[in-house]
Amino acid sequence: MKNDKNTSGRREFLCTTGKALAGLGVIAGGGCLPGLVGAATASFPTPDYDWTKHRWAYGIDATKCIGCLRCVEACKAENNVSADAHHFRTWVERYVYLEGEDRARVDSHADPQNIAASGSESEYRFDNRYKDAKVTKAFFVPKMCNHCTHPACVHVCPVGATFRAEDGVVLIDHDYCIGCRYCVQACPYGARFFLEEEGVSDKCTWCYHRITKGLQPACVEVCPTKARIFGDLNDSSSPVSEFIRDNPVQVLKPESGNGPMCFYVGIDKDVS
Amino acid sequence: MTEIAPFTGYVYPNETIIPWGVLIVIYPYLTGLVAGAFTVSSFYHVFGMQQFKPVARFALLTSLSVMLFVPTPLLLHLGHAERAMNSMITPHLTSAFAMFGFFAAFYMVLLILECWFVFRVDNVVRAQNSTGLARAFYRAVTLWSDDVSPNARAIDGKLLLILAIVGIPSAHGLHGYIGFVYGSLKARQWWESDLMPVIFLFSAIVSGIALLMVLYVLTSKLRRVPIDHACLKGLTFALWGFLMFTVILEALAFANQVYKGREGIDMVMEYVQGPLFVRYFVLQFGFGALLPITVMSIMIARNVRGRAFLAGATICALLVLMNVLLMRWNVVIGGQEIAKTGKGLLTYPLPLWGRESLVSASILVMAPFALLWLLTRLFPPWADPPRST
Amino acid sequence: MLRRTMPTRMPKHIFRLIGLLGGLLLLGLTTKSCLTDPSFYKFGHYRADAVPELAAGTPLFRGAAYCQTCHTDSNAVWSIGAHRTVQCEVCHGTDREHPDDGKTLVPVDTIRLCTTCHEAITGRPARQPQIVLGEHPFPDETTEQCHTCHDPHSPGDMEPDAAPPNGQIQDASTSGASIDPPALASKCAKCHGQQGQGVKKNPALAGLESAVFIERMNLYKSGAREHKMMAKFARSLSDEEQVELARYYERLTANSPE
Repeated sequence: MKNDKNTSGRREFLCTTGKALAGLGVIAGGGCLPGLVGAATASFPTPDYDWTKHRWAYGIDATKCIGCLRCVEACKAENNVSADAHHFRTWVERYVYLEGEDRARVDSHADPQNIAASGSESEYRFDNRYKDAKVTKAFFVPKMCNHCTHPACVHVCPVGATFRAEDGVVLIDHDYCIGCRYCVQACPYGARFFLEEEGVSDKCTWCYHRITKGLQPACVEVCPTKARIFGDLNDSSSPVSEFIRDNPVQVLKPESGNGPMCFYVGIDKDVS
Repeated sequence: MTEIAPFTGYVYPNETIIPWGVLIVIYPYLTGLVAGAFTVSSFYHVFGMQQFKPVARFALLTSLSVMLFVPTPLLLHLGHAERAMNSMITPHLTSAFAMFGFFAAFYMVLLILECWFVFRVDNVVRAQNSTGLARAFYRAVTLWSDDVSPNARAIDGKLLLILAIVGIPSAHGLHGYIGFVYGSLKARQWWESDLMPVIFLFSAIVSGIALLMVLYVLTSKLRRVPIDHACLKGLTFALWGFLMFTVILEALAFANQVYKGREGIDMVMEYVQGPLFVRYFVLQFGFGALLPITVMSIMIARNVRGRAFLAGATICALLVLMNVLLMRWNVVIGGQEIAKTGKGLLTYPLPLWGRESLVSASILVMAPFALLWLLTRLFPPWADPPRST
Repeated sequence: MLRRTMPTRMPKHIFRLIGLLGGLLLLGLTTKSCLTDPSFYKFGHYRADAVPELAAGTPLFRGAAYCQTCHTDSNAVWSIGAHRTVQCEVCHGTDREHPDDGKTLVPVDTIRLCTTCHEAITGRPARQPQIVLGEHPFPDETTEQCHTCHDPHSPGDMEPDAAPPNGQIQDASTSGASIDPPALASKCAKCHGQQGQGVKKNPALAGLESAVFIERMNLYKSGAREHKMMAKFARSLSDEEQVELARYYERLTANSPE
């Protein structure tokens, strides 16, 4: 019958087409497979460093910091940051409680008074302004980018110039950044700044060019008192894993929801 | 030459250079004028309020000429303006700034389309009545069509209505997202507020109405035509109503912040009672809002008319324009003058010359009006001809 | 809504408008896909090529592992001394071209350098060795430098001589040459003054009874009286030298011009 013939003809056509497509699919899949396997084993970003194998974190023991600021100068040298008092990838704050006062007096080496004491905007010292005062408690707190797990800066970047790498480091693509400075606004910790000469935003990168070569960040390398600790959380015997395990640690501004990865020991109520 | 912000108390070292300066104050001011002028135009084109007919087409041209200048403060501010299109090539959808690219492009096209439809018939007539270069220009603008049949006009009307309706949320989205950028930023307490997009929006509408009032009076004087008092009265009523609501919103946002008294409120209070006091309470709220509301209330209650009304309305409009500019300044600059440490205050140094300076900002605010003048010559929006040429 | 009330035909300018808008949209989409960096979206919303670029930088600080390939002597002292947690480049600075550029990296203004860490400033933990500049017994106003007395590579070991710190520890002289008290006293002079008059906290030696002098030196030598610096000096003297020096100082008040 006419209908049957049409139907069977249509069915035959669909079957043949279906088989052909399935066949093509297998070939295509087989063709892709080597590519996929290849991609899975290629080490990224460098042949010697696979970012999927590391989970970096940072520790700061504020009870050990002596405020020598070697870290600040080393970072500037290592990363070519402007040698002035307004662009810092890392800095140190001093908290001093005077007798009879409940709130700490805070200053950093970028303070004009401390700059005057050091005599230069590119060499950093803390002055001794409290030497004749009655001090009840005083300590130093190093600060830097916290390489958050939910970074506010990455969230607000309009183009995707700043991002969180697979090994936990928050990085900036200087060739893609348009210099809008939204990220500088969004960081609750004041860790980001704008490089006027280059027209892009910048911040601490945990010396990515060093840690991918098995070295430590410059600030950790030069700290004379082991106040700065860095390491791989995937390695339970790394300095930072031990630091976190052996101490009650805290983070800055936990209420921000950013999930920072710099863990502090020895800071107190007025540290923000 | 980067300007360093002096400070008191403790601020993070990186905060001593203020990232968003006067250009970022000008930018929401301009988009606010765009949204506000469009709103005035929609009073007639959407809501059919006849008293706004004299300014309706002019309001569209105002919106367009300011809109064409809106990207300039941003481009001038960017570290790499040549990469600005990255936000549309690879827009990061979690970022409010990325959404701007699409809102702005969409609204720009919509506005141009609406202007095109509104002026189409006039342009066809002008094309037919002119020669040479002018004729070529108007022919091109009308897309080489001279169809002014009832059929075409009916379609014009329908499409215009759709565009105008879609344009309202579009224009408000364009400006509202700016409020959202500030309101959603948890790093700065002065900015973080759920009310911020609404505040920006209503103060934008208010600035647009005020601008149109000033421009309408000015252009009428220049063209030596009588001012339609029903129109001016309509604008004044609109200004009065929207301004009251805006003041309530702003006062609410501030009251909320003080009442909640979160960490860092000490520094906010020190700032508001100190460096910000004159700019905020005296100028913005006092002279910029409460005074115009009072004057307009008196004029409305006592049914003031004629020259007194004209003077009163114009002065109120000028005060409101100052209010809105100050509001943008107090939000953008003010927020950055309160340090993220919650322990210090900075002072924004406004340079006189340079990329981000008083001079560059002034030029950018005035430039759209030069363009507006040109557009009104090319596409006269007036319903009535001028008394003298 | 539009269809119901729409009259007979669509005017040509509407089609042209639609065409124009469509063309612009197509242009926009094409431009977008052309200009998108090929490595974008590979791992996330960023240019994947940026990561190897960031990883590729040349490190500046090389660390002690590099320095010790040549500076074995200094390293031998440093690696077991109190400054073993202070990397070489912290004090000596960084120099990518070293040693090829022929520059040496010996710090000159050691007071400025050492007080960076060792000046007593509010906030420094007590366990950090710190001095108050005005009170620290610098030996001599003309040669006031930290490295005059302290071996920077192992500051706990005091270097009695002003010789360049090379890690050599002075042992008791066994040469058997004649004892020259003024020459010996010149080493003491750096801390106790040219005329042995004492400097700040360091006691005067001039006029001190020789028996007391000898007893004290023996206490330092044995470690019964703790003083790292004095212990070194005491051990650097033989018994005969000690006696001669004691006598020299005992006589000094009578002879000192002052």
